[in-house]
Amino acid sequence: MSHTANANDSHDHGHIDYFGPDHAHGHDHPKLGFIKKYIFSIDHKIIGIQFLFMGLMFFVIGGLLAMLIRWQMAWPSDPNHPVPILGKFMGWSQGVMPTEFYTMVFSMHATVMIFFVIIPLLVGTFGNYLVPLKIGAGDMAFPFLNGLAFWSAIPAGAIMMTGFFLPGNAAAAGWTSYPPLSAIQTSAKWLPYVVPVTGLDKIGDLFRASGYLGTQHVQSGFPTVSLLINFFSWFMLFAFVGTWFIRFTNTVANVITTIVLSAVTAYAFQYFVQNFAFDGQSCWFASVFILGFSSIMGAVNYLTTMIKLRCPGMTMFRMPLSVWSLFITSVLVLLATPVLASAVLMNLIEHQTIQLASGGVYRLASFFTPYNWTLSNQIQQNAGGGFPIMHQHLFWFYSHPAVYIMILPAMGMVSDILAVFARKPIFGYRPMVYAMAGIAFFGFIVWAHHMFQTGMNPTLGTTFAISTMFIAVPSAIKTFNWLGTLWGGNIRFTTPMLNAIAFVSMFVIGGLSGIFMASTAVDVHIHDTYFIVAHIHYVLFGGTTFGIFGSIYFWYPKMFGRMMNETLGKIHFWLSFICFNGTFFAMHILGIGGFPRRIAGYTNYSTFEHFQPMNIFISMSAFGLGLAQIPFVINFIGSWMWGPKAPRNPWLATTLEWETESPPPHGNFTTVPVVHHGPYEYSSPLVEEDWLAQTRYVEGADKLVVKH
Amino acid sequence: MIKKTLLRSIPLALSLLLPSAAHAASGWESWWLPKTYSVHAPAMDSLFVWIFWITTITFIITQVVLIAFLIKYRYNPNRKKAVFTHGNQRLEMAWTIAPAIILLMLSVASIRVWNNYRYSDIADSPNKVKILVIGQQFQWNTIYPGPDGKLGRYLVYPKPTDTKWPDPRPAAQQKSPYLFPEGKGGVPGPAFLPYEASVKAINNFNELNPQGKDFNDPDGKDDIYQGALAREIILPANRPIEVQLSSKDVIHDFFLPNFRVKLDAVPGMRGVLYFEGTTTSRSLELEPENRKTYTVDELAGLLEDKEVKAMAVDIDEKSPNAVYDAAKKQWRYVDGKKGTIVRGGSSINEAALKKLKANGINSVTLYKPGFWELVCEELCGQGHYKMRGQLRFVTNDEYDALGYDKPMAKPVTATAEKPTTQPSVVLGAVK
Repeated sequence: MSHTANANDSHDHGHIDYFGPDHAHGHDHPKLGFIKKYIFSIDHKIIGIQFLFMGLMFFVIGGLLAMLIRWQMAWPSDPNHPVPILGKFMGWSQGVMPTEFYTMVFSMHATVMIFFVIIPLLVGTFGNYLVPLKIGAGDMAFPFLNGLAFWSAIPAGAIMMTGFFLPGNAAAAGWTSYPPLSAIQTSAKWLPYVVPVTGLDKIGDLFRASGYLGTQHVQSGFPTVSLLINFFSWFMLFAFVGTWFIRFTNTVANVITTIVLSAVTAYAFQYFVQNFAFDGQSCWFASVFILGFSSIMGAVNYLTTMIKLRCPGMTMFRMPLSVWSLFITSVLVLLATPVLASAVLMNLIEHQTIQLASGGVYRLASFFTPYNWTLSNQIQQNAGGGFPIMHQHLFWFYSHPAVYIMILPAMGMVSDILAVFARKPIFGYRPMVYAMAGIAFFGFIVWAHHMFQTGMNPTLGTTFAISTMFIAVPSAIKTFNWLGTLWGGNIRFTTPMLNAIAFVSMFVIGGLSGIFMASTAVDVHIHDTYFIVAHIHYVLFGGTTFGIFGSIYFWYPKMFGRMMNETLGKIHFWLSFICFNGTFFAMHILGIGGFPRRIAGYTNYSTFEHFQPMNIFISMSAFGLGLAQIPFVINFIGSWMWGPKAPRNPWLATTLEWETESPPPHGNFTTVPVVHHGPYEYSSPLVEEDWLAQTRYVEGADKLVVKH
Repeated sequence: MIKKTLLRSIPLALSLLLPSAAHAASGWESWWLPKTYSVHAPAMDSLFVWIFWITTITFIITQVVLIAFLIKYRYNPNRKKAVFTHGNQRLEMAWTIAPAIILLMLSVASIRVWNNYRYSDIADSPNKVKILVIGQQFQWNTIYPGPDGKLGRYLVYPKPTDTKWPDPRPAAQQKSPYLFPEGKGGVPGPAFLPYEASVKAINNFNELNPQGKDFNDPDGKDDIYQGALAREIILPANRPIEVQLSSKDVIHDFFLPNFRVKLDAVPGMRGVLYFEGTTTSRSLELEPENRKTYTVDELAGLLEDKEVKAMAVDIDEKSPNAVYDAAKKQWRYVDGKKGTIVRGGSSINEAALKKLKANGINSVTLYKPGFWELVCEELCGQGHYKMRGQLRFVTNDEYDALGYDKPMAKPVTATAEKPTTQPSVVLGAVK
């Protein structure tokens, strides 16, 4: 097998068929049209990049929502500080944000960031992009399923965004959606029919579900814009399916059939959705339910790919840690997501009411709301006696593993980056794998630590406290091994490396603050305070998001074939790092003071009003953090246009993705890579260079373990 | 180039943040756990402090090591290669076992404190006082058991499937049938009505009897109910307290920051928690740091001051012209014609200041009202932030005089020992 430097020579020597014997592809493959190649692609690289754009787009939405949260927290409902731009646009009195709007804003901030930014960016983008490349496969095991996973995430996003346009506004019960609060309907299921006025309304009316209740003509509350977004997102999903499944010999017939069939199906689906997703909260449930499909399809695909499609010589323990982390993450997704899906489906059913012509309103079911549940002394039309805590058990059974779904891939990718720029093998490769497996295992038996103060049996609290304490052990192993990796290195401070180091440093803070919550007794005071907010942001922003930034800077040359600008990258990093700590470290102090989270105003509390200057400081840092992303946007777009062309292996890294062109061609590798040893052979004494590519054969490299 | 730009951008960011950081830091002395006033809190706080120092030391060590490595092993063109090592099993075992042992010890310590709090001895104390707190959007309802010391049944709403239901009205009104002409007591339930009619009837019931009280339960006859949000929850200090928690609509959370007490109020569930306060509100008000004597001229300029506005006038027998109003149990300043100038406990205003000056009273003592805040910590809707409550602690004798609960058992022997903060132990022995 050729060494990278010679890889160009072996370019024409042949190709491997990854799609099966009767699917000829490669250089002699008939050229795919633009649509099949770049839009309805089943190539894992394009799908990964599509997930990247989707994630970054939602990142902007989530980030702007965060700015609104911070405005309200700095000057709660203060007419002297009206919300800029939005206050006028929304026509709020004195420009002050209404508290119900604030409740919606933080609920949607968390929802968007968790379900539509972090998970698509980590698992969707890097899972898709890196797994086949790093294990030497031509594509995913199920390329079509992979595309389906992306295109089914789009209607989920559209339904979630629809909430913003509905009469009762988007979901406002927190990202945890605890019933009975989430079971409250914020707008009526059917609204009186409004005769369309403008041309746009008339178009909307074609899509709008309507009917008769008694003698009254009623319609769904979907405004035209969300009807069109929903129709379009469903259309894209079915057009994707049609593109690959409708195979007449005539291209025109194919296109017409696809368009007609997908339009009809999309119309039916969006019509159907209006019947059950009629307010923000039901949109939330429906969206998360559909997104669950996307996650499960992805996880099945990653697992199969990693088990079946590894190239010759790539044993499980020669896989890079980023691939291992995605393997373990996929197991978590596969086991946990169905539980969430069932929970949100139950919630969605519970949210539904049937209105009879006589005017009586009935709930379909009552899983989580207690018998004779009342609101403002009005009985809610229930079927039977549910149990609110049940939802929390189901939800956290998913969402605690989900926390690890949201950090493990970042850990894996950061391990890769650290090894590359420290020019050292990972310190304790196998313990790192076992530690991740340990985190995944413990991740399934700690969920109730979110529920210590709900009134569940206190002894159960003790059980979960002990398992939660012990999840810190594998996390500690990982941290110490990262430090061990840096020890004795030859560290280059490139932008990806700075972000990876920030990950390690910030993850330590996030991990250590978790110990406070793990202790049931200490949790009594800090539960549901800003301490929790600080903790989750240190893990998910300080950890995962810096990991994502680092990974984008690191793999951007491979993805787009261009180098990113280092100066802009470093400005982005340092500003983000400083403002991030200014924002979230101070939140620990608020939390220790008992400052409640999810609260729209605190100036009426003598216990908390003195925290206003602190909150203003946090908000200033948060606005700085928002502005700090501008260099990133400029860098991302500018490098794509004008960046210098990237070589195959700009970082002199050993793993397989750097063996192929930047960006890799269809089918990834022109020759089948053969792996001879582990993924992190940097500074090996066997070769002259300080890196030994996985494909380069050197006698004894697979047995060489030098201990200190 | 890179360095120059970085050197320029970082101070810029800092110069924008530092002024507000300085402002935020001005209250640094309150950057710690809120002061505690309950018996079980110090144990929790000391556990917090233990974890705080363990994590802080770990934090400092890891960050120092990280930074040291970054500086020491930064790129050096003369160093051709980094150290080639795949790890060290012994070292890794050490840093696996060490945190495991520390975390095990923390778990054990945590279990003890937790069990003392949730499985408190107070549960068996014969002298404990009970309250039932029912959360609703967006207020707390407090119910005291009254002199018999027994809470009645609450949150008993008729269900659409009931064949019989209790009369929702207080006993005195039961003679005039209102809901159903059939009679009082066990009237035919909603199960006999068409569904819509039963829903309407239940809604009627809920509005007449918002707490869902069972008026036929003898235990509930003398219960005292305080619904208004502005009313303080009054509790005795140095006496075990049992708080029963539930909710009418959504999940709320009963959080007392100064008592390290927190539990969700879940609809359909009855949560129980125990604690014991150590300080009365009055003793807090008497602490010198919470009192200040102003001259009337000074006060005239401070009427708009936030702090002064929140303070109340303190009057006792030593104050000139002070008269004790036995009916209202408060002192007040009176003028020559025995007309009230200002009552003890009320806030000062411009009219009162004028009258004080006219009557030659030149200085007034103000105190910060002694209360503790009750906060809802679980998101309960758009008015979540409005769910503020207040707690006031009185002495045992004052509490008994209020008749909110059964009076405290007097010690059997005449030579009573000093009251202990753990009455359950002592009284258990007497029993």
